Amino acid sequence: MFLQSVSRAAARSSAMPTTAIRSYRTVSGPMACLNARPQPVKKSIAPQQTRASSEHAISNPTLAGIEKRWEAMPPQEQADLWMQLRDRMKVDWHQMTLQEKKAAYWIAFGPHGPRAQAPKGEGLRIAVKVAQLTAVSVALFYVIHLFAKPQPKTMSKEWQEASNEYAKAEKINPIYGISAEGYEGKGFVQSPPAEKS
Amino acid sequence: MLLDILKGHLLLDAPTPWGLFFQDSASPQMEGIEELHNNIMFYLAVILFTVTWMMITIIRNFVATKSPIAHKYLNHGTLIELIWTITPAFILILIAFPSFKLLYLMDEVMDPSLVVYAEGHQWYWSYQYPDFTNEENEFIEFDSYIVPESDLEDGQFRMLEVDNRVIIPELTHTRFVISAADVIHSYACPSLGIKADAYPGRLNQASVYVNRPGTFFGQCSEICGILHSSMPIAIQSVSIKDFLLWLRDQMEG
Repeated sequence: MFLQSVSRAAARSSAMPTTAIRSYRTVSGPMACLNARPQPVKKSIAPQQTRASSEHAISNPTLAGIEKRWEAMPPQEQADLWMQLRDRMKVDWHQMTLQEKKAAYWIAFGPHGPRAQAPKGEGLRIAVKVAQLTAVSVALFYVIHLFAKPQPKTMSKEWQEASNEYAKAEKINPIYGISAEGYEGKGFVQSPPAEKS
Repeated sequence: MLLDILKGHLLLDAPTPWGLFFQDSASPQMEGIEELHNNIMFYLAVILFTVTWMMITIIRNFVATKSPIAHKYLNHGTLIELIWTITPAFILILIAFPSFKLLYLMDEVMDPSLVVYAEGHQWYWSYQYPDFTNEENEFIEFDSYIVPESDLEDGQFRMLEVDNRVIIPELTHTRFVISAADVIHSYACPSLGIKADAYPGRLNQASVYVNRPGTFFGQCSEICGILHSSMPIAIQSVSIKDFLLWLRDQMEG
C-alpha cells in the first residue's frame, strides 16, 4: 500500500516541470531504491548520462530576463534550458559567464514555484477573514447564551460566604486554604450578591 | 506576593473557584504524586525553554534574507542525530525512575487495619464495611447519593454533597476495595491520591492512609452514563475515637 502511494506520488511529481532538474538518477526508475531485491545493472544507459559537458556558453539572449520569462515558459523549454545550464556547470565554473551563473542560481533558488512571493496584501486579507469568523463565533455564543438557564442558587455571594463557614466547620483546606491559620483569601466567594427579587 | 497568591488560591483540599493546582494532600500517596509532578514540571520547563530557544534561533538565522542558500541536499548529520536521540532518552530515564518508584510504592497495600468496599452503580456509590459485624452477623452497608440542588443547606457544595459520607479513621491504613455493579465507573478522590477504575466482576484496590481529619470530595472519573456527573464521592476522616462512636451508632441503628 505504501509503495503504491509512493509510486503514485512519484508519478505526479514527475509530471512537474522541475523534474528535469532532478533527473540525474542513474537508477532505472524513480522508486527503484525501494525494491527489496537487488536489481541487475541494466546495460542501456539513461539518456541524460549521454550528455557531455558543454564548453560553449549559452547565448545571452536565451538567458536575458529569465526571471520574467521563466514561469511563462513551457515545461519542455524549461527542462531544456536547465539541462544546458547543467552541462555548463560540469566544466570549471570560472568559465561560465556571469549571466549563466545568475540564471543557474535564479532557476535553482529563485522566488518561483514553491518559493514564489505571496501576493501583496495576503496577510491582511487572512487577518480580516479570521477576525470576521471570530466575531461571528462570539456573536453566536452570545445568542445561544441568551437562551441559557439562570445560574444555580449556589452562584451568589451570600451562598458562597456560607460555604466559607461550612468549609471551616468541616476543616476543609487546613494547610493553604480557607481553614488555614492566617488565611486572607476570598475562599469560595466568586459571584456578585444575589439580585433582590 | 505571588507565592502568597499561589498558596492562597491554588493548593486546596476541596475544589475551589478558579483552582488551578492540586488540592491539599492528605495522604503520603498524594504527597508523592505532587512531588513527582513538580519534578517532571522541572524537566518540562527545561525542555520548553531549550526548544523555544532553538526554534527562535532557527527562525532568526535562517530567514531568506540572511541565509539565502537552502542546503537542500544536506539531509544527514551523525553527531546532531546522536545528540537529539540520546538526550531525550536520558530525560525519559530521569522521569521514568522516580515514576516507577512511586507507582510500585502506591501499588503496595500496607497490611490494612480496615477495609471499605466501594461499588459503583448508575448513578450512585454504595459502601460496605465488612470488618465489623453485629450479633446478627450483619455488616455496615449503605448507599451514597448526591444531594440535589433543591435540598442543599446553605453553604453546601453543589454537585459534591452526598447523603451518606464514607467515614474513615485518620492515621489508619485503610484498603478501599473497588468494584462496579453495572458499567465501568472510577473511584477518585484527589486529596487522598486515589483514582481506581471500578469494573463489574473485578475487584480493584487502593491503599489510603489519611494523615489528618477533614472532608475530602471526589467524583466518578469514568464516563458511565447520563448522570455520570451526579455520583460524587465524599470521604470524611475522623479521629479513631469518633470513628468507633460512629461505628457503634451504625451497628445499633
